[in-house]
Amino acid sequence: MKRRLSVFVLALTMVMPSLALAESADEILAKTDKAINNYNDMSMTSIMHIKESSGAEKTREMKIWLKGEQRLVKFTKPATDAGISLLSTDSSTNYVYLPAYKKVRRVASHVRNQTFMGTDFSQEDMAILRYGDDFTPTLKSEDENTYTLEVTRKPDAKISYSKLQLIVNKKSYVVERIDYFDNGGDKVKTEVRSDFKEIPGNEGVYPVPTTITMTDAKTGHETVLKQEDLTINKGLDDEFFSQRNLKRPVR
Amino acid sequence: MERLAETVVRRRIAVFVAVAILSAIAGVFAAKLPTDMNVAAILPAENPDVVFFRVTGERFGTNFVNMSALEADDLFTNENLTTLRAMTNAAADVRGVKFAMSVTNLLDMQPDGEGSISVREIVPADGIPTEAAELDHIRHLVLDNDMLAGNLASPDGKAALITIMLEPGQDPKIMGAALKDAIRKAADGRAGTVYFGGVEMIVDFLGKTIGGTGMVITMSLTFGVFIVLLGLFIGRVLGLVASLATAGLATLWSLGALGAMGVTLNLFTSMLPLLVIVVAVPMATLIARAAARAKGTGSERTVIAVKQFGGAALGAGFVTALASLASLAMDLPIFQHIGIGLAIGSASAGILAVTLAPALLSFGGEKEPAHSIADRLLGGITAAGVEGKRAVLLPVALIVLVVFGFLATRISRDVNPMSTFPAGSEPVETENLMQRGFGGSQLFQINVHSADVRHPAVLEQMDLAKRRLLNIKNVNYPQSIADVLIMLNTNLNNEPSTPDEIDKINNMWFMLEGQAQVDMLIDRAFTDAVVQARIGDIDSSVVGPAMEKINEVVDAVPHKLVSVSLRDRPSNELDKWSEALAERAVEKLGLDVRRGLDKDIDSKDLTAGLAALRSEKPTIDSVLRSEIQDRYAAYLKSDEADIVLPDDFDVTPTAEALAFLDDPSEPAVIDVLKEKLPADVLAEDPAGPTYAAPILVGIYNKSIKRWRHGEALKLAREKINGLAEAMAKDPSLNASVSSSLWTINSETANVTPQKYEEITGEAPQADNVIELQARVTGWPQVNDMLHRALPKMMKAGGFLALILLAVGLFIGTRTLIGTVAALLCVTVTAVVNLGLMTILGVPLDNITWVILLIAVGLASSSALAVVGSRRRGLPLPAATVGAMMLPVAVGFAFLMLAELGMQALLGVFIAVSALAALTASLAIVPGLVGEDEPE
Repeated sequence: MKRRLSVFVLALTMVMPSLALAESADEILAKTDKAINNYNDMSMTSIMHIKESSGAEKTREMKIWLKGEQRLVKFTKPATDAGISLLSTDSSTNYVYLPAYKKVRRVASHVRNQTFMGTDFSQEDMAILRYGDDFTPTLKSEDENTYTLEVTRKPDAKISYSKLQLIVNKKSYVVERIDYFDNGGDKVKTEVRSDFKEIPGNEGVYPVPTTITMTDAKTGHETVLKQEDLTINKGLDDEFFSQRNLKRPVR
Repeated sequence: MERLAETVVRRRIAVFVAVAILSAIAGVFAAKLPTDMNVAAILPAENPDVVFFRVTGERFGTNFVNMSALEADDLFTNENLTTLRAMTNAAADVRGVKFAMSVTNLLDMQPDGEGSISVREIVPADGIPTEAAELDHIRHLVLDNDMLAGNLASPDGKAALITIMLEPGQDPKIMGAALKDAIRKAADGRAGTVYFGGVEMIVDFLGKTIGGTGMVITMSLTFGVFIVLLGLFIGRVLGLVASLATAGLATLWSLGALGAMGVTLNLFTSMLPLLVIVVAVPMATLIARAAARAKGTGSERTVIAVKQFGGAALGAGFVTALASLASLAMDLPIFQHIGIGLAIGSASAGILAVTLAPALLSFGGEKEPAHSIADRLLGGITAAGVEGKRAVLLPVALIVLVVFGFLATRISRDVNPMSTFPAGSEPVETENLMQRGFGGSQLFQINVHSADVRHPAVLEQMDLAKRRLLNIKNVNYPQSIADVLIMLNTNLNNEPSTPDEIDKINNMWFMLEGQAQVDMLIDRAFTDAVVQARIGDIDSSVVGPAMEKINEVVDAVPHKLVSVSLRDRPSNELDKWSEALAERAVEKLGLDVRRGLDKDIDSKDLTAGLAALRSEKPTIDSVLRSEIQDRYAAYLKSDEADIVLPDDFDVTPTAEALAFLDDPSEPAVIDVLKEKLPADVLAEDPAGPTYAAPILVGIYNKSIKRWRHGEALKLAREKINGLAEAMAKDPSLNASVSSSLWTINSETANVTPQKYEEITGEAPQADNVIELQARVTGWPQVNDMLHRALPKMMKAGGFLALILLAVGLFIGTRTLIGTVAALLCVTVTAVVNLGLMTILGVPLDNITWVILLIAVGLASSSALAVVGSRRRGLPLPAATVGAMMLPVAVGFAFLMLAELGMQALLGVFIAVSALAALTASLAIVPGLVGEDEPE
């Protein structure tokens, strides 16, 4: 009896460490959220390349500053857009500066899934800061390098997607790919994040994707975002994200 | 013919083999014959207007648009909006649909305080409201919006449209069925009536109707009665088989030839098999009936039949073929294809009637002459009897010719395409809904082309075109991208017009990018945009006159414009430019007043008054100065202010000092700010005044513009009697007048090169000249174009057919009197059809040509049969001709039961042609040919 008990205990101790090491979906998602937000503020130059399903292409260049929910975007190219600036202070309030009118306009958008300037990104996509706030995760599968998490919209979440499927890097917990699904459960778009650049974050390094490709599943329309001149934690104060600053030239 | 008959009988196996080989080849090509049941496929593909229609349709998606609609007592209830949303989502989810749009998924931009806008769904995405106040709010959002009322919702609030845009390259039949299925399921069990419209929906309806139980029964009845009667009239089973085989193979060879030529069958040309059968059967029946009436073995009877009527049968095939080829003179592929197909079919029938039919008939055994119903009905009609009455019959024939000929000239030109569909059917009910709720179904576009159609000068022309269209009777709900920009400019900047400078338009465009509705009005390269509207009826009597007026609107668009920035012009020109702006404002206002008050305005006084408002320095009274001061103060206190002021700083003195600067310049403003603002604020942000100055100058300029606009409105109300009351009653007129008068505030004048030269004294530089072209397109334009061309085409074809007929009949009869008699028969038959069309109110349409070809085919057969018998001194073949025509008349009369108008008409006129051909040939030919019978 005692021997059988010892064998049992031995077997248990062999199994339990691996049980203790396996991460839950909640834990993975929490780490993912932490990895995404491993900075206080960030600035970059973005080149947005839009490819229509007809083959026609368009390119825009802008400078972006981020701090929490706040976002300041100043367009620099093409010439027709140069000087236009956008300021988001929260998920539903935007200010736009139109240089031809020399006026700042407040645009209160109550439409979360409205596309952003003809791209495949919506206001909502760009406003998601923490998946854990609005989604409940389930670990679908994993391989040597990645976790596949299915995150389902929480009942009270004001998100237009019913679920997302995230491919999360096991080492860095950054999201490498997101599949977005509508209320009918159909995949509507895919976002692929690649060409990661590691820069020092709040804790350790912060891998930032320098290429983000969003593809519409139905139309084949594609938007590619290239991010350059990435810097984080420059110490941007809240005053930087002001209407006044919308009109001032690019720093 | 006797030698031919003997050869055929002797070598009948060879005949069968040859026919089999030719039929196999024809069968291969016929099997590959492509069909395209899209209604657009009947249009002449190479016609420049049709090419432009297709290109524009592809560019703006109108080629791929279908619609569904929901009608209820009140659209704006929770239940009905829920149904509409379910229908919209169901349509959007169908594979092959690019998007589906209705008021339930549209965004709305509304002003939300000074210079702010709020973007939200018209109907909240997270749930349809249940409270009456919220539903009422949605009602106002929709029905007070000129771009929605009449376009996506009926102005009475009872019906809503769902615009469904398909991906290119979809199969119309599959898409139509799939969309209807999905939408019906979504609406199942809910209140309201569902409608469907658009090419794919109609193709689905036609497919289901043609393949439906009703049509199957009708066709079965038609062919069943026809075959039974044919058998009874011929009197022999083998004769029936020979007739049907001839007609069937002639049809196969005809389709095979078209397949080898690369022709595609469409909705119109798909009736070719029916036509070939109708004209082919009498040719073989002539031989079969003659063989049945003879005595002897099968071979002997066959030789006799071919000897007697082989020439007539072959001649009928040849003559009908010749007449059909007259279709080549008509500049419409559907006629040309029908003509070629019928020519090949009838020629084949003639050949088969003297080869295959005799070969089959020769298998009959020894028989006595067969007497059939035809003999009982018509056997009593003799040549002598007819000759005896020719003094009556011939004049009667001439009277019939004259009377029906006169009636034929009165044939109606007013075509209503809805007459193709049965009353109460889906397309008819949808058309009725579109007419009562949405200004009609006949969407047309004025396509405007320029290097950049967003240029203010081009947008102004689109706006003018819209105003002109609003003044045309039966043209409804015009809109263009100019309207979208006016709405955005009004909501964002409180300027009720299109932006007057290209930089402003580029900035506005930023807000519009990616919106699906925009893609339907302007292409992504910005080289083409459309002003689109609907014509309120589908009848050509409405479409025709409307199209004439629409073409006048197109002609009024100048081909060249010069856009002049008034900021750069010398001061000695400013008065003239002010006058130019005033003239443009009055031009627009004149169109508004004509629409709203149905009168023209006296423009001289008004133009002078508006020009003075623009050119003269405004007198700033205390009220205006106070308004300006308040706006300065509001800016300085706002979060937007370019100078960060302490919360407790009183901006009033600064605002007041600024307000007393008349026509302030930026340096003057900077000086005031530096004088009035706290030193520590200026030290903190020395650049602040530099950034604030242009804003403050802008506030002043905007205030002056508002004042000027107010004064212009007062002037207009004063000068135009009744305008104030009309504007108070009609929000749309109010908005339009407001927009017209804002023109005098424009920083840019858009004039013709001639006007530019008149004002400046020099020609504009080429770089400054904007070129634009306008062209109308759309279903109504293409249909109207074809409709107008039809009489000329029919005259050309008819004239050529007459000549070819005369030649063919002369070759067939070999006598002048025979030619005259046969030609008279054919002409009387044709004219009776046309006269009857007038009596029945059937308009001149594409189907008219087909009816005439049938008449020619049937009358040629019967006339040649009678002429041939007279030449040989044979008894009048009344029973034989009766056997040729009566089964066709009675059998195909059952087609009148068909649900589709075109097929029912064919039934009527096939019967009429057969009876007229029978009567004319028996009444006219013996009276004429008998006198001149050759040896």
